[in-house]
Parts: sequence; structure tokens; C-alpha cells
Amino acid sequence: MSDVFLPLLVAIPIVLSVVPLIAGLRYERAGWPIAFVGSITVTAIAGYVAVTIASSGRLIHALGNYPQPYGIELVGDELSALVALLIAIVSLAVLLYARTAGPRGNAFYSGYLLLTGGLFGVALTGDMFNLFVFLEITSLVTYALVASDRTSGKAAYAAFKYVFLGTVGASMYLLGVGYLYVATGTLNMRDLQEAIASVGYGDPIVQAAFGFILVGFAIKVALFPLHTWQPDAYTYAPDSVSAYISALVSTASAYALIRITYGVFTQSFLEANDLIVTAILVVASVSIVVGSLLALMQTEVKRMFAYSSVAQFGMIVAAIGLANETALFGAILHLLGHGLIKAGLFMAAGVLATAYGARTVTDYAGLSRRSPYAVGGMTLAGIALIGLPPSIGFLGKWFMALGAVEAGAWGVAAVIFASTMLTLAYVFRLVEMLYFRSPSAARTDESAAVEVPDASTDGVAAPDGGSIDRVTVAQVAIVVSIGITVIALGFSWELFADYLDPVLGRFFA
Amino acid sequence: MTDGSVLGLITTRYAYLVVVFVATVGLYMMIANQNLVKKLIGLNMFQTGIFLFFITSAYVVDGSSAIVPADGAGGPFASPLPQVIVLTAIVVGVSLTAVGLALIIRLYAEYGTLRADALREVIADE
Amino acid sequence: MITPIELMLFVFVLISAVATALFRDVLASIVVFAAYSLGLAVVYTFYRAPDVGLTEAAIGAGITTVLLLLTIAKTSRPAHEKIFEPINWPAVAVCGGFALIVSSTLFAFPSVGDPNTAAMTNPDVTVYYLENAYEETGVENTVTAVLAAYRGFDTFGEAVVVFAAGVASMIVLGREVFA
Repeated sequence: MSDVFLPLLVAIPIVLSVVPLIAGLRYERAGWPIAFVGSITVTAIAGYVAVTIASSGRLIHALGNYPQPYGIELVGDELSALVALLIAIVSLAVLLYARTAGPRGNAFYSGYLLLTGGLFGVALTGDMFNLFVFLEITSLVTYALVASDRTSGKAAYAAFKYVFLGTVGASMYLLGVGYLYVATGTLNMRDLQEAIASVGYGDPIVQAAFGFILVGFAIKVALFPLHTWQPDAYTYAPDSVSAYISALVSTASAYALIRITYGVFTQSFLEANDLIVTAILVVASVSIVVGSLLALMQTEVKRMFAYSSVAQFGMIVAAIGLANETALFGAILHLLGHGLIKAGLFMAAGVLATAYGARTVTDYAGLSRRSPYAVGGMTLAGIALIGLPPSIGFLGKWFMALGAVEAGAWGVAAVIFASTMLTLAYVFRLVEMLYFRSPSAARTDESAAVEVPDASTDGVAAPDGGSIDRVTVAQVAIVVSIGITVIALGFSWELFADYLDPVLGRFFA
Repeated sequence: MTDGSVLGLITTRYAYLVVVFVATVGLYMMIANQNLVKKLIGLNMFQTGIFLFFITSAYVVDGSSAIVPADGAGGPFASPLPQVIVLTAIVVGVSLTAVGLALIIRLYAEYGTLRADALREVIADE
Repeated sequence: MITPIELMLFVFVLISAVATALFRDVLASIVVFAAYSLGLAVVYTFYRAPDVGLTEAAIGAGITTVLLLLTIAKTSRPAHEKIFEPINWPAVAVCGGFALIVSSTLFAFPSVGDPNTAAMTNPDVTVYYLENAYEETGVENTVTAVLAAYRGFDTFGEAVVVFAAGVASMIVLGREVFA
């Protein structure tokens, strides 16, 4: 009976998303409490689902009691449960952060709830076309959230570009689904797995379908050279939104790519199509190197983190192409870890920008003395991003590199190593500024410098509760807890290995 | 079963070629037209190509639409599933168009132009 | 083989597509695009998808056109001396490459209207719907049955998309637009 919780995860936030708009007609500030209730509820459900799956195996819920392939089903296995848990936790963290950081308005909270529900839909659906519908719900809301700062024309232009690339990506995916339908006549993922096997892995329509789906997701996760929407979107979006979408939106697409590659096309398809595998590895490797180099060249901190994501998703896609269990285990760890790390980094950047107007690397000089806790959290997340042990970033990169060596793909292993060096360089540049440069040596904008009530002082929201120019304890506390979490998870690989064992067993039967 | 030559492609899979052509014209509009509204029309056209793909895949020569009377007589029938997909996708498409147009109105209010090249210049100077 | 009706419809669709791209005046482009949508609606209907044809006519040719017209009313419609846009040859080359790559995947496709394709004969999907929809849902129109019953969750998602578009427009433009 636990399977009824799967549709609830999708439905609760979506149904609740109507409430802020209606309540907003009477109450100006109705949005946040409603979103909070929704977010707490789905976090509890996601936790319960994750535990249930660990004890009793994967959950399958046939919607409307129409079993597959006649109807649509939601599938909660170990992988989707972890992704759902990540979505729930990061959403909650972003919501706590956004209470004072903004953006404001009931429409924002409606959008927030829709995005949360849409992401759960992507994580749980077992149907190819239903996945498209939920991808589009998430994309549609994401475009709007990027442009939610109505004073920023740059944000609107970034969102406009995102609309085009995002929709072309989704359309390529839909075309791939159409090809699969022509080849097999079905859309359910589990049904397709058998149908593709019987059509044959060398069938040109099946190969073309995979190609279109891959290109679609390459745009959605922002692989070089299809990444052009991503840096502007992450840079010009409001800080809370940058944290939310960088942590979850591309992550959901990368998850869907894993699900489709291994749950629909299967490892045997990759083994039968060397050319496709080579193409994946080459494009992903280029993405890793170019993304890291571009990150190194940036002076604006948010843009640096944005290009860093191009490299990290390159790594995840490369690991998907390696088609062995070790690499995929690493890819899943890195997918989850990267989501947490980027949420922490963008929120920390938001704290420093709100408090000191610091948005470039040089602005960061000496900030460790003025805001030790937020900077500490940022540094911990930075360490995890480099992949130094112990951290979740280390585990992900370690297993991906190990998988590359196992597969004999020395090039990929070398590229991961090179990227780690480049990441070390740009994160170290930031850390050096924060800790070892005096603020007087670098220019600071006095007018923007507001005293920060850091966790050391008894900081509370501004007396009127409405100013977003000040940073609250809650915001700093979230950054610090994420920093500690991504380090602590560095000791957890056996936990993840045990938990993911059944799903990896199904993928690599 | 199917003719693998180019001539065979044109004579028996012509509707799929129309799909490719329409999607290509849409792509061209997105790249080449500088007017933002026309770019968005191009995006729409690109999507309609994919809708036509699904409808073509559901079509049977000499068939009838998928309305099956209670006694199950008649047929062959068109496949209902791709048609359902297109119904949903059309609505998704118009929703995306609405959001794109809202962004265009925002950009025009901010910068007073609808030309992509002019916008890029203004934004680079900001 | 292609029938004369199909040929005429496709020629109309192709010409209106190209005209949409080449007309310099945005208003002209919007009007031709509406005609293009209507042409597609007739194609859908001819391909035995009357529900989709109706929807395309109402939404593609109707609502989309209204939205586009509202946008140029709220923004601007630049005046032009020339009727047609100049052709951007590098873009033509890029798009031509795209078209060739996609076309090359079509050689393995079944003929248009072939009743023996996997999509048509899958006993668990198309055949199942056609044989059991009336019994299980009480609706003669199988498309409606699949839309509302078997794949009702997609339809729920579709409603959510429309709502999301409303919320998104409010986020982008602010409430004053809707007041």
C-alpha cells in the first residue's frame, strides 16, 4: 500500500500551488507558510518512501488502476527515491533561505510548489511521454523563475534564450520518443526495455531514437557546446533561484538520462553500439575540459560556479557512457553530491552578495573575517567540489575515475584528473581571496557594505521583517549545514553502495 | 518491406519528409530571423513538425478515425495513442508560447526593441 | 503512394511555412502562420485524427495567433520597405545539415499509412485500446478514452502546464498586467 505515496509526492505540491494565489487575494504573505507546509510534508513522505523501498523493494503505482502498458505508472526504486529525497531536502533548504532573501510575492511560491511537484514527477514517472510532460512543467516554471527579478532585463534575456534551447531540447527528446513508438508501439519504460531487445539493438530507428534523446538531454544538462543558455541563466537569476535550479533542474534531466539509458535501452544497447558510446565519451570529455577552463577564466563568482556545472555534468554523462557498474555508482553519487554542493555554493554567494555586495572574486577579499560562518560553509562546499577526501565530491569522482580505468577508458580518467586540478585552481583562488587577502588591499564598495548579523551575533530579520538587504541567521545556518553535510557524506559510501545495490543489479543484470 | 532508395523514401515516406522540412524551416527562423516574435513563431513551427510526425505514425491507409462502435465493427482504425500525445503536446506548446511572449513584452518594456542583435548590443554595454 | 489530396495539402503547408519564414513584416508572418496551422489541422483530419485537427485549429491557429497579435499590439511592429527577409545562407547551411542528418534516419521507416507497423500491431497498446476501450470506459471514441482514462495522468499534467503558464506569466510580468 505504500505505493500510494508516490502520486502524493507529485500531487501535494501541485495542488497546494493553487493556494498561494487564492489566499494571496486576502493575505499578502500567505505564500511562504503554505509552501513551507507543503515542503515539510513532501520531505517526510520522501523520507518514508526511501526507507520503505530499502526494506521492501521497489514500489510501483499504476495510476487509475490501469496497469502498464495500458496506463501510466509511477516507479519508486532506490535511485528515484534518492533523487526524490534530494529534491525534497534542497527544496526545503531553498525555501528557508528564500524567506528573507526573496524573491517575494505569492506567484513566486506558486511557481516554487509547481517546480517541486514537477521535479518529483520527473523522478518517479515510468512512462516516456509522461516524462516529457513533467520535464515541460519544470522547464516552464524555471524559465519564469529565472526572470522573476522584474528589475533585471538581463535576467529576462537569459530566460528568453533558455526558453529556446530548453524547448528545442525537449522537442528532440519527444522526437526520440516518437521514433521509439514507431519501432515498438509502446511508451512504458519497463515494457520498452523488452520491446527494444526484441526489435534489436542494431535497429537504425532505435539507434536514431537514442541519438535524439541524448541530444535533447545534452541541451537540458548543458553539455558544451549546447550549454549557452546555462551561464547567463544561473548568473542573472535571483540567488535563491540560482541555488534551486542549479541544484535540481539539470540534475533531474541527468537522472532521466540515466533512467532511460539503463532502464529502457539497457547496458546491452551501449555494448552493441560502440560508435554511440565513443560519441558520448568524446562530447562529455570536451565538456569536462572546456567547462573547467571557462570556470577558471571567470571573475564573477556565480558565473564561475555555472561553468563548473558544465564540467560536472560532463563527468556524469561520461560515466553514463562508460557502461559499467562502478562508473554509474560514481555518477549517481556525484549527481546527488553536486546538487547539494551547488545549492550550498550559490546560497553562500547569495549571502555574501546581500551582505557586502560582493559578486566578483576580488570583492571577496578578506570576507572570512567579516562573515566567518558563511565563508566557512562555502569553503567546505568548495572542498567537496574539488573532490578532496573526505567529501561526497571525492566519492563521486573516485568511483567515476575507477570505472573509467576498469573500462580501459584512460582518456576519461585523465580528463577527470585534469578537471580536478583546474577545479582546485579556481576554488583555491576563491579561498585565498576569502582568507588570505586583506580587504583594504582589494577595493570594497563601502556603500554596499551592510553589517551582517552573522551567526556569532544574535541576528534577526530587520525589524519590519520586510528588508531583504540583510542576512539572517537562518540563511547562514543553511549554508553551514550544507557545507558540513557534503563533507560528512564523504564517509557514507558503503551506505550508498548497500542502498543502491538492488537498482544497480537490475541495470547490470 | 520498405524501399531503401532515395526515390522510395520520397514516394512512400513523403509525410516524414514534410516533418523534417517543417522542423527545418522552424529551426531556420530561430537562427536567422532577428525579430523575437518571429523567432518564437519558428519555435512553434519546429514543434508542429514533431506533432505531424506522431499523427503520421498513427495513420492507416483506408482506415477510419479511432471511434469504435460498441459492436467493434469497422476498421482498420488509426492508432489512438499518438493522437492523444499530440493533443497534450499542442497544449504544452501554446503554454510555452505564452511564457515566451510574456518575456518578449518584458524585454520590450526594458530595452524598447524586439531585435535580437540590438538587444545583444545593449546588454553587452550594460 | 501519395494521394492528390495529400499532395495538395502538403504543398500548401510547405509554401505557407516558407512564406512565414520569409515575410519581413511580423503581422504578415503571423497571418501566414495561422494559415499554416489551419493547413496542418486539415492534414491531421485527413490522417484520421479529427480531434487533433480541431484542437490544432482552435489552439494553433486560434489562441496562438491571438497571443501573437496581442504581443505585437503591446510592443511594436517595425515598418519595412522590402517585402521579404534576405536569406541568411550560413543559417541555411546549418539547417540543411540538420535536415540531411534527420532525413537519413528515415530510410528504415515504414511507409506512410502502412497497417502492419509495430505501432499499429502492438497487441498491448493500439490493439488493446481499440478492442477494450468501449468495454472498460464506455466511450466510443478511443482517443477520448485514452486521454481521459488510460492516460488521465498526462491530461492532469496538461492542465498543470496551463496553470503553470499562468503562474509563469504572473512571475514574469507582475500582477498589474492581469488586474
